[in-house]
Amino acid sequence: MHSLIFHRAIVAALLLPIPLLAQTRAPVSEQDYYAEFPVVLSAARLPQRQQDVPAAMTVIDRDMIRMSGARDVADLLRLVPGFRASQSFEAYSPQGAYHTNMTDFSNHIQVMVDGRSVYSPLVLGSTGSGLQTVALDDIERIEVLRGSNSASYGARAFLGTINIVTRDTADTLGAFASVARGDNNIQDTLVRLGWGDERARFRLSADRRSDRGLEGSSGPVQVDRFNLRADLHPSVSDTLEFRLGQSNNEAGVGFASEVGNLPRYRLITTSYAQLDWRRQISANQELQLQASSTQEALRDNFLHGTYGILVDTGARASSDTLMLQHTVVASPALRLVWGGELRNERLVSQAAFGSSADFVNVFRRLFTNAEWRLHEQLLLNLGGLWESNSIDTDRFAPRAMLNWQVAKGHTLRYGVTSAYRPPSLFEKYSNVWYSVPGVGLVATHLSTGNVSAERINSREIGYLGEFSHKAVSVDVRLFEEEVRDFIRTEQSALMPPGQPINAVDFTNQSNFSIRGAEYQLSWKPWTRGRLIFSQAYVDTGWNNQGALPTLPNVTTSLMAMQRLPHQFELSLMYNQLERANYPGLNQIAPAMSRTDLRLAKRMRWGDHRAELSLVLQNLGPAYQDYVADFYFRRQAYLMLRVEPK
Amino acid sequence: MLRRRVLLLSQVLCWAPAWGQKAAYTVWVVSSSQLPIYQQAARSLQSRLEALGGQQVAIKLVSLAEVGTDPSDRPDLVITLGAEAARALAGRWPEVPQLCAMLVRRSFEALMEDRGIRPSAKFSAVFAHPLFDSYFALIKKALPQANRIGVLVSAESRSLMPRLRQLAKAANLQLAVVELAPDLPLYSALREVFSQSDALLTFLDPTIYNNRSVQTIFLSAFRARVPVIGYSASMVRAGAVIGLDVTPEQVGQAAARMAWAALVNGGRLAAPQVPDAFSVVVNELVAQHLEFKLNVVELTNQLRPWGAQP
Repeated sequence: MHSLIFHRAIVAALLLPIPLLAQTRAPVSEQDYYAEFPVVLSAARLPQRQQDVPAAMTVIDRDMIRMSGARDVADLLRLVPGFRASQSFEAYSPQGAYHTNMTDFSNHIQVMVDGRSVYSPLVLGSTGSGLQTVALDDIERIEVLRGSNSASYGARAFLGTINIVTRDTADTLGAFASVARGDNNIQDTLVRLGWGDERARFRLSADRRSDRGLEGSSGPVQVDRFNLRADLHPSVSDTLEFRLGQSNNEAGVGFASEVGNLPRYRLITTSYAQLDWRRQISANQELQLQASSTQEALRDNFLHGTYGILVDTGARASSDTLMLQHTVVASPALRLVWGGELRNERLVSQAAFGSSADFVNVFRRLFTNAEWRLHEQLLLNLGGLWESNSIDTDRFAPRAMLNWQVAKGHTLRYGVTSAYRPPSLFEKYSNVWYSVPGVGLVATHLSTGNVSAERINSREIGYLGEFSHKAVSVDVRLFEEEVRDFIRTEQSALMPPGQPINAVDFTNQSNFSIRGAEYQLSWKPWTRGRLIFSQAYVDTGWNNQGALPTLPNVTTSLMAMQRLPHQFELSLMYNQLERANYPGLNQIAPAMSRTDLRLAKRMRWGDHRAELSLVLQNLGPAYQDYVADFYFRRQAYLMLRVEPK
Repeated sequence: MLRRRVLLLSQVLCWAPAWGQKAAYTVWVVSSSQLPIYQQAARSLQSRLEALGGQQVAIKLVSLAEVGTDPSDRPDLVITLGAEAARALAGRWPEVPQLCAMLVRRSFEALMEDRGIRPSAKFSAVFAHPLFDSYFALIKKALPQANRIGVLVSAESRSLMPRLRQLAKAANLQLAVVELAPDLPLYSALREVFSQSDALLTFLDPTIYNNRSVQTIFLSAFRARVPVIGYSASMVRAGAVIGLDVTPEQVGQAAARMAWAALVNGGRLAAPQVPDAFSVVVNELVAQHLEFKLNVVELTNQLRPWGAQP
C-alpha cells in the first residue's frame, strides 16, 4: 500500500507542470544577481576570425546552400575559386578537385564532416564518397581552406581542406520534410525529426538523392542515407556529441565500348560512428576527445567483354581514429592548440592485393599550432604536425603565416608551409591479376613498393579586405606550390615477360610547380541582396601523360541572391571553366559554362511553414563533364519543403 | 586656498568636542549572512562611513542573530545588507531609519507590499544593480545599430513588462518580448526572439537564466550573431558581449554616503537609489568575434551620470 502511494506521489510529482515547479523556488534575491555563471563563450571555444586564419578560406553558409539549388556538396564547390567539380559518379561519386586535374579521385584534399576525416582508403583513396555523407539540408556551412594544410591535419591535406559543419540540433527541432521532382527523373526526398531539450537534443534524418545520372553515363544514380546526431550536455562544462550514419551510394558506371569496364551497378556502403567529448576546463582551456570508426564496403563486378571472366574489384575498408586536443589561451596574446591522433586504416581486397589479408596503415600524429599576437596589428600563426605511418618514413609539416592588419578591415597575409601525401595502400601494394582463358594469368597492377610520399612546398601572399561597413569584402590569394615526387604510373618492373598488356607500378616521378592567383568578392549591394563572385587562374604546370599542352585551370563563378517582396527569393549561380585537361585523362576538356536559376516562395500552410522552389539548372547548352561522352543537360526540378511553424 | 583653510578649521572645531566623548551617531550594519558578498559590502561601507563621519559615527557590525538580544540597545540608523536582513528588521523599530542595501528592486518592492509600507525618510534602499533605464542607455550608446531589443520573459518576470515597455518606448527602441511557456521551450523561444531582434537584453530571472540554460542561450546567440546584454558581470564573463556591473564594494560605498547624508539631515533618508559607481563590463573576446568596438572607459563615463539618478 505504501509503495502504491509512493509510486503515485512520484508520478504526480513528475506530472507537475514546469511553471508550478518554478513557482516553488525561493524569491529572486541579490544572491542570484551575484551568482557566478560558468563561462560558455571562451577563447578556447571560439573559432578563429577570418582575418586571423593562416590561409585563404571560403565559407559556403546556410543561405548560400539553401538558395543555390545544388543537390550535393560537390556542386557547391563550384563556388570556391580554384575548384573544378564534376557531377559524375564514375569515380565513385561527384567530387571536386582544387588546383589540379592530376587524378580523378580527388585524393589531394582532406575532407572532414564535423571534424571527422571521410577520406576513403578504397582503391587509390578518395574524398568523393565522403562528400555524400550528409544531406545538404543538414549542413550549416562548408569551410574550404584553400592551401596546403598538413600542418593541421596531416597526410591528404595536400592542397587544402574541406570541413562540412552540420547544423546544430537546436536548429533542427521538430519535423521537416522535403521532396523534389523534376527532369532526368530527379527524385529527392528527405524526412527529418529533431527532439530534445537543453540537456539532450537529437536529430534523425533520412534522405534519398536520385536521378538518371549524366547523359551518356551508364545509368541511374541513387544515394540513400540516414544520419543521427545527439548533442548531450551532462554539465555546463561538458559537451558530448554522438553521430551515427550510413550511406548507400549506388550508381550505374562503365562503358559499353570498353570490354574491360562494361556497364554495371556499383554500390558503396559507408557506415560511421563518431563521439566527441569537449570539456571546458576553465575560461582559457578546453579539452576535446574524438573517437570515430568508419566502415566501407565496395561491391563492383562484371563479366569481361572478351574473356567472360568475372572482374571483381570489391573491397572492404575501415578507418578508426582517436584524437585528443587541448586548446589553451596562455595569455591575451597567445593561443595554443596541441594534441595527438591515432588513425588506423585497413583495406581488404582480394582483387587489389591478390590476397584476402588485411593491409593496414597506422598513422600517429602530434600537432601544435600557436596563434601569437605579436602586436595589435600583427598575428603570427606558427605550427606543425609530425606524422609517422606504417608504409612511409616519418614526416614533419611546418607552417608559418604572418597576418598583418595594415588598417582596420585590411589584412595582408604571407606564409610558407609544407605538406605531403603518402602513397595509398593500393599504390604501395597493388597486385592485380586476372586469369584469362587461353592466355593464362595477366597482371594489370604490380607495385614494387618503391614509392614514397608526394611533397609540396607552398608560398602565398593573401589580402583580406572589408569596405563600406562590410558590405564588400575581398579575398585575394597569390600562390606558388612546388610539387615534388608526384606519384605516377609506369610499366612495372615485376611484369611477367611476354604479357599482352602493360602492368603498371606507382612511382615518384614528377616535379612541377603550380602557380596562380585567385580572388573572391562578396558584396551586399542593396537591401536583401547579395553577390559572391570569384575567379581563379591556376597554371597546373603538368598534365597526365605529357603528350598534350598543359592548360591552365581558369574558373569563374558567380552567385547572386535576392530576397523579394511577398516572401519570394531569386538566386542565380553561374560557373565557367576555360579549356583544360580532363582529370586523369589524356584529353582536352572544352570550355564550359553553366547557369542555374532558382525562384522560391515561402508561405504559411496552416500550422506549417512551407517553401516551394523551382530550380533550372544549366540554362545554356549541354556541357561535357568528367569525360567527353558525359553531358550535363538542361534540367528543372520543383522542390517543396515543409516544417511546423 | 583661504576657503580651504577655513573649511579645515571648521571641521577640526566641529570634531574637537567629540574627542574622548561618545560618538554622536550609532549605526548598525546587519548582514543577511556571512557570505563573502555581504562581508565585502560591510567592509567597504564601514571604511567609507568612517571616512565620512570620523569619530562622530560608531559603526557596529551585527549579525541577524544578535539583533534584539538587548531591547534597550537601538541604533540611530540601521543598514541591512541583503533581502533577508531587510525583511527581518523591517518595522522592528519604527522610529529608527532603515536603509535596505544590496537587494534587488523586486525584493524591496515585495517587502513593501507584504508589510504595507512605502519608501520614506525612514525606509529606503540602495539596490544591488542598475535599473532598466541604465541598460537601455547602454544599448543606445554601445550598440547604436540595435533598434529591436529582444527580451525573454517567464511567468516569474512577466510583471516587469509594463515598466520595460515604457522605458523602451522612451528610449525609442522596439521591444520583442517572447514568453517561455511549457509549449514554447527555450530553443523555440530563442529562435523566435533572435529572428525579431538585433540584441537580447537579459535581466535577473533564474527560471530563464541559470547554470543549465546559459550555455544554450549564449551559443545560440553567438550562432545567430545576436549580441547579448548581460545583467551582471558574471553574465558578461560567461558570454554576454556587454553589461553593467555593480560590485558589493560599490553598494557598500553608496550605502555609506546615503547613510551619512541621512545622519547629518536629522535621520531623513533619501529616496531609493542605485549605486552611482557602476561600471560597464565587456567580454572582449565575444566583442571581437561579433566585431564590436566597445570602449569600456568611455561608455562607463557616459553612463554613470544617468545611472546615478534614482
